[in-house]
Amino acid sequence: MSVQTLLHAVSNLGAAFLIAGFSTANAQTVGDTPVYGGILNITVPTEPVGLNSGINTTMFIGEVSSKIVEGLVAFDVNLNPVPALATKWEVSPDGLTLSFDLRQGVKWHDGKDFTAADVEFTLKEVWQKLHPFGKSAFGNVTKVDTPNPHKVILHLSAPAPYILNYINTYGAQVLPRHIYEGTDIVNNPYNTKPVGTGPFVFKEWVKGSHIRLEKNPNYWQKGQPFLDGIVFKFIPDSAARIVALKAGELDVVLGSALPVTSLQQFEDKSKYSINLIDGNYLATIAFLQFNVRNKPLSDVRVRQAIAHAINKQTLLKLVYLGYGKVATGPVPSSVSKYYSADTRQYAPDLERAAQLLDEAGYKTDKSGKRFKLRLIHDGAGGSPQNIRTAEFTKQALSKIGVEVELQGPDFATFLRYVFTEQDYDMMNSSMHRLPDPTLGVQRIFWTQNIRKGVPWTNGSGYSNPKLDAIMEQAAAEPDEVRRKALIKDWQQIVQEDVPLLELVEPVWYTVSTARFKKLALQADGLFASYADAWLEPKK
Amino acid sequence: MSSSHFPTVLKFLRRRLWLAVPVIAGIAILNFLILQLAPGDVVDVLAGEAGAATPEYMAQLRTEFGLDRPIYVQLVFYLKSVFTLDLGFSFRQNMPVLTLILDRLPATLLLMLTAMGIALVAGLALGVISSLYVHRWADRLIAVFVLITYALPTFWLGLMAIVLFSGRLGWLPSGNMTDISADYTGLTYAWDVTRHAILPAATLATFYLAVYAKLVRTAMLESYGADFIRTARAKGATETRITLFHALRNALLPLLTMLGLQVSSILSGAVLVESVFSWPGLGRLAFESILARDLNLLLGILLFSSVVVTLINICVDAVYAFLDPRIELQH
Amino acid sequence: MYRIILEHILQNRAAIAGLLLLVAVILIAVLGSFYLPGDPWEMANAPMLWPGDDPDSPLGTDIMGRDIATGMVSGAKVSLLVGFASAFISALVGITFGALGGFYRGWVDAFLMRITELFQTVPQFVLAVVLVAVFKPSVVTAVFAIGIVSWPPTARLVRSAFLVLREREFVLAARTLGMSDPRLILTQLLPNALPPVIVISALNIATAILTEASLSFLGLGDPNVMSWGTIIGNGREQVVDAWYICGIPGIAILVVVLAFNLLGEGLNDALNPQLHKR
Repeated sequence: MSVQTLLHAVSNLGAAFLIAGFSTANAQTVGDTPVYGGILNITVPTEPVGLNSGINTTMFIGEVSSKIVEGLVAFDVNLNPVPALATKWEVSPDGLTLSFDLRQGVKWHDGKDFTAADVEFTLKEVWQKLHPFGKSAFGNVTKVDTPNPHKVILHLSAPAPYILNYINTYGAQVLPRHIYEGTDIVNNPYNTKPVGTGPFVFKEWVKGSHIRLEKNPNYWQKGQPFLDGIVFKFIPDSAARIVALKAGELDVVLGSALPVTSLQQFEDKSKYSINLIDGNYLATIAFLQFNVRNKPLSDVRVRQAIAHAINKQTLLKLVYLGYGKVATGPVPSSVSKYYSADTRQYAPDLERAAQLLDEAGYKTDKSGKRFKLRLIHDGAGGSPQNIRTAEFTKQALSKIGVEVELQGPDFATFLRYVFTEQDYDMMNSSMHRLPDPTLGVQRIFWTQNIRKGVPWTNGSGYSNPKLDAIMEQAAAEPDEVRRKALIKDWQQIVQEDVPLLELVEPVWYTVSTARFKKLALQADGLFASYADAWLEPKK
Repeated sequence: MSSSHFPTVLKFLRRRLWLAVPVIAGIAILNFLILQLAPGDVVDVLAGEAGAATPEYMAQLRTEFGLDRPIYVQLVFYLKSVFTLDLGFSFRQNMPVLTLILDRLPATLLLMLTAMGIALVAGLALGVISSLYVHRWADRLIAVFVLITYALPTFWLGLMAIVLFSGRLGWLPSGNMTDISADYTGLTYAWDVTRHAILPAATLATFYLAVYAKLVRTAMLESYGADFIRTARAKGATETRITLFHALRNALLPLLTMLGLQVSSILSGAVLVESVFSWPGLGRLAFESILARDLNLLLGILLFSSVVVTLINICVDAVYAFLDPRIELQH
Repeated sequence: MYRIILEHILQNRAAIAGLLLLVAVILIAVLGSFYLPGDPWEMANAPMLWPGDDPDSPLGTDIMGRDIATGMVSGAKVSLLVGFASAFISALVGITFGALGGFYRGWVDAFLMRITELFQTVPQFVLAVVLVAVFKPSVVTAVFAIGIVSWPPTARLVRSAFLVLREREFVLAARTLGMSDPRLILTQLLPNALPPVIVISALNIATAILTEASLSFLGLGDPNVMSWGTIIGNGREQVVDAWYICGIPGIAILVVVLAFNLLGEGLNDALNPQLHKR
């Protein structure tokens, strides 16, 4: 079978959505005639370890806790902040103060009033100290003023334009001061039975089985939530999730928890909806990371050769069945404010790859081989897409005489090898780039973030003083236009040096029964409160 | 039974329990050391899953979990807490290990007892039938069936059962223990659980069933030639009576031995079947704890299972001696 | 003596059936790699072809367009390799423990039997999973892990044989002739204790193949080696629509395991003729 027919057959598989679907499929979840009542059954890929997104940014925690605990804002379809616990916000012209008006009459689930003191406490004790991204997001906050119970003013040492891109329930969840103050926050028992301000109240958690939430009758948004409750069911086997959704045991499958291969079974729009924008906020990119400390990957020509050897388009079709886009650089296209397509690209070109390797001095031996590399991925615990990408890469590199040995240890070993021992050649995984490059992208390339022993830091060991300066400047640049220009330079430099090869921007898909509706879609839909969600009656 | 029998039983139990102590301690040490050899710890996993962390936060967690102490200190502390029946705390699940185990235990017990029940009943029936029709077509057919079920990979059988009964026919649910959203009570709840248990229990049962059927057949055939059966026949007992009361009772002994041997494989079987059928039991918990490097939890499960296995084996030996007076307990 | 055993085997229907099945599998492994020399990981065709859709891929392709027939051949080799190698390790460890315990008795025996008991009490498959996960999944770790968890029955068998044999006249005679312990064990006792070990090893091979498949199915297989368990694990996501991806290798596992079980049973009958007559 020729490559042509191969590609043709592949594109028949999942590409129905590829071109036409991206815009139309999404709108399907939106409705305007809410119906009251009913219990919504949701599944997430993995049972969370706790329910406090303030101290642990694991997606699965956020997917559940966002229904119970809220942030200051939520994000609309275009990643613009919309009111949640804050009704209004304002940045001073010099970028050094940021003030929020808080919603009045909001009560915690235990009946206490929500006030500015809660925000101040959470910022100082949780976001700045314990939140994995919070340290950088709120690093410039030097002082917090609460002139009255419904106003919070942040004073900054330098402008931090990215803060507003990060204060939803996933990035900055507001926790009740009266429950956490003076306690060991990390081990507070309420981390597994949260008290929030959100539309749903925590009811029970049967480990290994489900979490049950009930309607909050005192929710600040009058008339909401529409649902009587939500049950999160944990189904570890993805094939079983397909059956459960078809059987009506599940209404919503969040966070790409169904195998991508099964999506064609849910194309019937009278029965199911597929939402492709819920995860845009995360701005995830799947990538191949090089350990640039070691030969031969320390040579930029070798990295560029590998980039030329991998056909991202085929990868996207074979591994992701078209659910995503080819990545062109470190900032994903969904972060449209800062994304630049105008960077160096590496078209699939085996001859050019071979030429680059020859130039670098790695000629083929008699059997056509040049050198051997290890490729480590998060084996058993990782996503099937990760594993298949590794398998795809191995086959692709064999075409340019690079032999690849795959390694698939468990998660802990994987992290140790990559980030602590730094004993690896290539690693493939995916990372959330978040709506702001300073928060989500800088950490991958910044010299100061080469931190032995800390996962998801600059693990390639790449260090470029010129880029460091640009990234640091972009972080503190209050002028949007100049900031954009800096981030564009940043993307160009990274694409020249390829310390990691950005492969695919996988799209997060939420598959639900067509009866599931919401008033509006959100780019952070994975972490939507579902106050505005309902189930249409069965026909 | 003489009145002096009771102290013998107690003596036997005491002796066996004492012998079990070094074995259990050995298991604790062995597992602990194996897991220490692994690169990475639960803090790596927690930080890795969070997507980001600070070195200070990770160091703080390690101190808190006691992971920064030298290994021998950790081992001493671990053994000390084990001997005070404290299985420790799961840092990943944020719960005491014992609570987690006891939470999941009923699901696994239900699955296992149902599977064993199905296997015993079906195994006995098949064994008796083949021994009655030895070397005839029924016997041959059963022999082939037994051979195949014994060679079937359980996880594969489970998958195929899902394809057929849940996917194609839609008769039975494919996973989980109950229909959580339905909030059933009483009889409807029992029926719901039964529906969910049928596929996993039947899948698990096939493996054991083969062994039982074979054992029963052999034992029955052996006993047909035995003296006590001849006596029973001479006394004019009917064939049915002979089969059901005399020969079958004789077949129970090897069955009991086999049960004792199989107890230790229960958790192993549970890992696969619970993973295929999303059954919220101990096996799945064990597998998840391995992948998440949740040391305390995994050690706790292994230790718990070892203690249970040891206790059951002691019981089996005691019952065995009770059923077959020829065996001395001291032996 | 061995000729008589061979005759018994050839008269035993189970053993012959097992042997034939085994020969068939070995032929598939050998001839298959001759006819399907390709890399089982090569994305050679369109993905998710059903068996018969395309003569180039007679058994169909998986989600990545990899030929299942080629994968089956690779899997046959892996299964046989892992089966024999880990059964060998298991026999080696089991014989050592059993022989030393049965020969020396006393505290040596007590100590070794406690260790045996320890390994029998730990859930074997869970321990294998732990070992493989901890020492990085690969064929070598799988072989060792399976070998290490499966030796106790062999040890017990050898021990009881040695306990009987050491009192036999020919052993006592050799001992009075001043034969050293190692020689006594290796030349006098072991050969007489071996037949049951051969039987149990055949069954161990069957179990080892099942265990390897289970490990690979759980995602703990060697990422560079295509085994039957890997194919099933890879196809698990799509099992409801494309059951053939999981179905075909499962049947292969069934056949191989069946072959070794039959062989073990046949050997058992052949080596214990008195049982056979009954």
